[in-house]
Amino acid sequence: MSDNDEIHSHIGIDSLDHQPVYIYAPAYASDDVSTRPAKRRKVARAQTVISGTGPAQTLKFEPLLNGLESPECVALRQQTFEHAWSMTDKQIQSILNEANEDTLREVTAFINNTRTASARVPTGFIVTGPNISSHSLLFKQLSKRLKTEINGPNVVLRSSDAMNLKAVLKQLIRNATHQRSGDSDEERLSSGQDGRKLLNYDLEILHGYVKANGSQAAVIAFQDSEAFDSSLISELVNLFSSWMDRIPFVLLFGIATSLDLFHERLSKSASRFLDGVQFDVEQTSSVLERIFQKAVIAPEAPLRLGSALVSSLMERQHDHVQSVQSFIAALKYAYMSHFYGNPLSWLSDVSAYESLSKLIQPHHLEVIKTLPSFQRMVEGLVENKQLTRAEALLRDDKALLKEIMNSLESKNILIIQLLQAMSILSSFSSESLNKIDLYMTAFQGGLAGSDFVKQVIGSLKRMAPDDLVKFIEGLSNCIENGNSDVNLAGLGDEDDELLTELRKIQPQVAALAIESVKTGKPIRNSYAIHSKGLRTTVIAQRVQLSFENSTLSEQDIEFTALVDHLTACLEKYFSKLQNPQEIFLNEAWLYDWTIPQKSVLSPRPREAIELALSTPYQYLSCECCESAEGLLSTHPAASILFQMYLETGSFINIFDLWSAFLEMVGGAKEQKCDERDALVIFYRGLADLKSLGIVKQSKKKADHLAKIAWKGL
Amino acid sequence: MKRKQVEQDAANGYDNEPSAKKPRSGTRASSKTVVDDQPWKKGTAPVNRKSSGRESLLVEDEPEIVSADEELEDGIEQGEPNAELENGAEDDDPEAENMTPRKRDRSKQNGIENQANCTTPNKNSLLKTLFSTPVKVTGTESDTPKIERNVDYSARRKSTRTLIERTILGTTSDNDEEEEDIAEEIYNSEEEEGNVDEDGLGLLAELAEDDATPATPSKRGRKKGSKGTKVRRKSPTPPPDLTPHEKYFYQNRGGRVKTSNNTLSSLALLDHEEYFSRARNLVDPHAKDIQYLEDLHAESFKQWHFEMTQDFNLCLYGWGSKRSLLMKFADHIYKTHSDHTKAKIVVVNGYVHNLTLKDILNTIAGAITEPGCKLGSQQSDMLDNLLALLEEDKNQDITLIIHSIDRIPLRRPVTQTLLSRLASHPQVHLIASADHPSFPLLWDSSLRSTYNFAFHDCTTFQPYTAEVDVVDEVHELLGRSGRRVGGKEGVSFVLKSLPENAKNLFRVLIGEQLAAMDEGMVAPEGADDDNDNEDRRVMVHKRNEPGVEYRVLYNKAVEEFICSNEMNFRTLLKEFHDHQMIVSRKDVLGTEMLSVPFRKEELETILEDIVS
Repeated sequence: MSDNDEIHSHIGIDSLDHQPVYIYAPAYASDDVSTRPAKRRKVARAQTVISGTGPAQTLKFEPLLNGLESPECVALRQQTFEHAWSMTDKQIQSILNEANEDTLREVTAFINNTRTASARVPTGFIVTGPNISSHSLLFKQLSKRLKTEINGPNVVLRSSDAMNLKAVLKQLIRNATHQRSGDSDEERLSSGQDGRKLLNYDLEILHGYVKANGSQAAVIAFQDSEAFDSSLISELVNLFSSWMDRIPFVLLFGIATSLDLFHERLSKSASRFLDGVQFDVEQTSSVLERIFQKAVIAPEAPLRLGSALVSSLMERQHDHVQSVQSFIAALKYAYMSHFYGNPLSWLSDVSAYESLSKLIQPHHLEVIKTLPSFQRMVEGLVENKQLTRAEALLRDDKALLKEIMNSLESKNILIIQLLQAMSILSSFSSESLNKIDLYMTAFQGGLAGSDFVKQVIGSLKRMAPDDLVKFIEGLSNCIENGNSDVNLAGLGDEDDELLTELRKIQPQVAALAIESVKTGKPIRNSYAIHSKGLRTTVIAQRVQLSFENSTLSEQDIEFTALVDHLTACLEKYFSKLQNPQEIFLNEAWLYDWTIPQKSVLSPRPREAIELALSTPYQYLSCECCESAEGLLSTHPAASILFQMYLETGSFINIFDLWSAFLEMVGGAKEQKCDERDALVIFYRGLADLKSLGIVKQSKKKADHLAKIAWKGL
Repeated sequence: MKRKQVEQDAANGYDNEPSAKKPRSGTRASSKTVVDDQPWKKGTAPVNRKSSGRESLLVEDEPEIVSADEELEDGIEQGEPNAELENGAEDDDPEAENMTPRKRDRSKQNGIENQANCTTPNKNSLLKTLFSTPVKVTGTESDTPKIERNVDYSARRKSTRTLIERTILGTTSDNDEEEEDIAEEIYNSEEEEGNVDEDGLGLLAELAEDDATPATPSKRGRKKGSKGTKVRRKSPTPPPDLTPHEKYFYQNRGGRVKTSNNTLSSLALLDHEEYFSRARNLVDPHAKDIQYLEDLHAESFKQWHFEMTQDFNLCLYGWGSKRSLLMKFADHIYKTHSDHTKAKIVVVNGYVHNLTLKDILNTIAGAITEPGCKLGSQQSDMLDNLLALLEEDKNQDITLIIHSIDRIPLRRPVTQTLLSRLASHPQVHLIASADHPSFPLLWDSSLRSTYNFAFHDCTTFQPYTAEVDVVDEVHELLGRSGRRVGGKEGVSFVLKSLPENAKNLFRVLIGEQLAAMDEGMVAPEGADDDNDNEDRRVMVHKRNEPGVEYRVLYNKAVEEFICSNEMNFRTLLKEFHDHQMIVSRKDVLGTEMLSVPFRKEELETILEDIVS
């Protein structure tokens, strides 16, 4: 669009309405004093921007608390966000890179090792799984890797790039030969050996290129091979195999379904020419779980996500088969929302504690006093008759400040305890647990009575002394030293209650175990016996079932007592865990809003439009349409027509629609509006309905419309 | 994160300061984004975050069950002419049906009531005005000869008979329509009676029955009432509070949908000139509110900008044109840019018909380098080259604003794929607006994640003045696309610039077409009152699309020495085609028919123009 510049130098902005594309240059009629031509103004403006709104450039966050938030706090909030997200992002990226690492390595090795001179084309089938949105990442990584490790051209083909053989070849050759050399090379290549010009889809060009560079392999990757026409792929394979003696082709197919299905689509002759190896890619769900582990569960995660948010994220993930990328985007959006919209969010950063008393504004304290968690705390104090304390918190800002400091410090420990409990559960549970479910339960505060705990305790009761010793060892080790898998440091002696109990119980159980080995009599606890001690007796041809309960030896009884004690300890341990949503000031570091996530990342445009048209008052909140339901003559034209449209059958007579509309707008008696003007409005409304795609001309009858959409469906 | 959310937070205790600055915006915001906001009440006690209206309060929750009352209303509301044929067929043998004892029981009740309320015909007419289309209550019933002739028949039976007769024999008389109306009316009032009875309202129970024994007709009415519920559902007025799917099935019931035969012929349609001159003078009573709504959206500019800097692309959806909002936003972005030589804003009008992706890519390239640079010929190449150009200088920053990304010029999947690749580049920020209610269908999950959109509901209620050519769109909808040339003035204008031959050819064509129209008009006049749809459709077909056979026109043209060979003839026609002055179509037999898409009167004036 070279003529653009001319156009907006001398014609007003209105003429740009129908200009397909143009470069924006503001017409500052109102803001700017000068109305000089665009080019000059640019310079002038650039200067004013630098001097005047300089901070706005760096300060992206808005001051909250009705604009009363101090700039320091705003800056701190922004810093905290940037720091927090970059940390999380780094971890996620490393996981993503790792995730495909194995596949990449295998594929590269495969390409390196293929040196066949036969007519069969070495082929790698990369089974990527149905999540097509992550394919592009994989193939991008792959081509990057191949570029560095393999000497030779590599080309990634997408089905959308080319639809027929000629176009594919053109694309292939262009991409392959452009990769390294400039245009001069191309000139040389396109003219063949004997000086004649080659067509740009002649593989001879590629041949020349490969020969010139001494390439070891020409890798052709089909990113979405299912989307290609199957006959096209067959033709390509045949063609490649015929060139195999000159060009060392290696093919890679990204397969979303399964190898068998892909094989069926290929022609027999084509599949005969393929010499294939299958590669598997780590599936999205496992990558996702790892990311979740690192970014959400990990103890150093800067922001905790609430269970409601996690469940909605997961639901979206499952229901809409969204990719890992979109999960990351959602996670990022959660971070953004939290730090952008919550004036207390900077409190979540540990480094802010020292300067807390300096930075905190009276407004902050006011806000804190309205937090549900604060109220819960004060109510708790009142219930416990600590009235002076409660009063102090409410009246004395210093006391409150101190409480804030305390709670921020103690929160880390509480969270780590929670995470520890989670890691205990997941490592000692007999089945492998879904970490995400576990997290959701834990952050709802529902861990104590959950199935996860019941399961661990149940399995504990069935253990023999030897197993129990091991269990206790593992458990105390876990509490002391933490879990290295999840980067969880041990709490040392802080959690001494359970630990000391464990240490007490352990030697006793061990002693019992040794004794039992000596006596050769297995020790069982009463629970284990119950499960085994069913006895069948046949008396007078009747089967009698009775429980064996008299055989508990002294050791058994002792062991049972120990097990009981241990279970009680564990139960106490789990019930001691606090619900994060009840901790004071959790609003600063726990984000649990689902609404912005839902509306921003999975919009429902049709609902919005239907709502706007059927109840314009919701948006306009004008006096004329106040609170009224249904049709009103004051509604916008499209809205009136839409509501009429909703009431019609599937077949609409335009003239009747117009009469009804005129009745409505023109107000038959009072003549509110000229008929022709009403027609103008009617036209506008009708055009709007058409652009919404809900009506079309009906062929059945003259001047009729067909209805093609129903509200709410 | 959103301003809205901040406000919400306030309700939850984040922010206790009464926002004196914009007291109205709170309520606005809450009512505005219905899905994600709960109504925000200033100064309410903080609620627990968990329990505070997570779910939208405003999403309609339509009751699933249609209550008995509504069912009845449904029955009463009918006043619908069409169901009768089927009914009539069913009731061929009324006597047999009358035998069922239960029916008799009820009819006795009816009888009692009838005696009790002994109503006057007056009431009957009142009833009709209540429930049937007013036009038909013209009091003609008494002067219809047939009713008087068959006094011994009940009006109902008679009406049934009429209907059967009409269907079976196809007899039509002049007052057929009238008669049918009466029949239907009687029929309907019968049903109404039944329903009202059920309702316990004796008031409207009585009907003007010629018959001395009210039991029989009311029995039959009952029969109809119960049997006919399905049939009666054909009423165009649906019972209120249907769930969406019920509504769908309601409106797509089997059988013929009957609509009136009115056409737009009596209405002088607007042309561009009149439309625009009138539209300019129209004042939107909501202008202030619309402006307010836009300002409200404009308050989120900072947030949007923040989202953009975090590598999200923006997509604004909702009812109303978002052009001015986006241009305001462009202004906002422009102000934040410190270096206007590196940071450029490119605006794409996605609704402009001749827009291509190449235009977009070329303009962007022109924005970052010298205007004359060559990107290549193929779209994907161009994109690759463009991205390479961008990479050369990491300080370059392109903000791409696409108005109506979901309109036809950009809808092709290839275009969308390439656009998404462009938008996913870190130096490119895309802000798009989307108008169609189902725009997300444009993108599969892969495209969607490449785009990485953050969506915002921006319902503006602003008219789509630039996006939609109202007059053209409506005329296309009305099947009057011939007006695209600019009406008859446009045609004369085009003709003036054409050689004499072309003018003559057009004259011949119009003349032939007018002749064909006249032929077509003679026949249907009489049959106009005929209600049979099939016939009518054929007539309409004939009337609406008279044309001239290609061969005939060619021969005529040769006869008049307009052209000497077919090549010549085709060239002339092509000129008309290009200006959309003629329409060619194949008729049932496959012969090519040419016609000028104008109404008769217009054709006549055009003809006069040419001749004079």
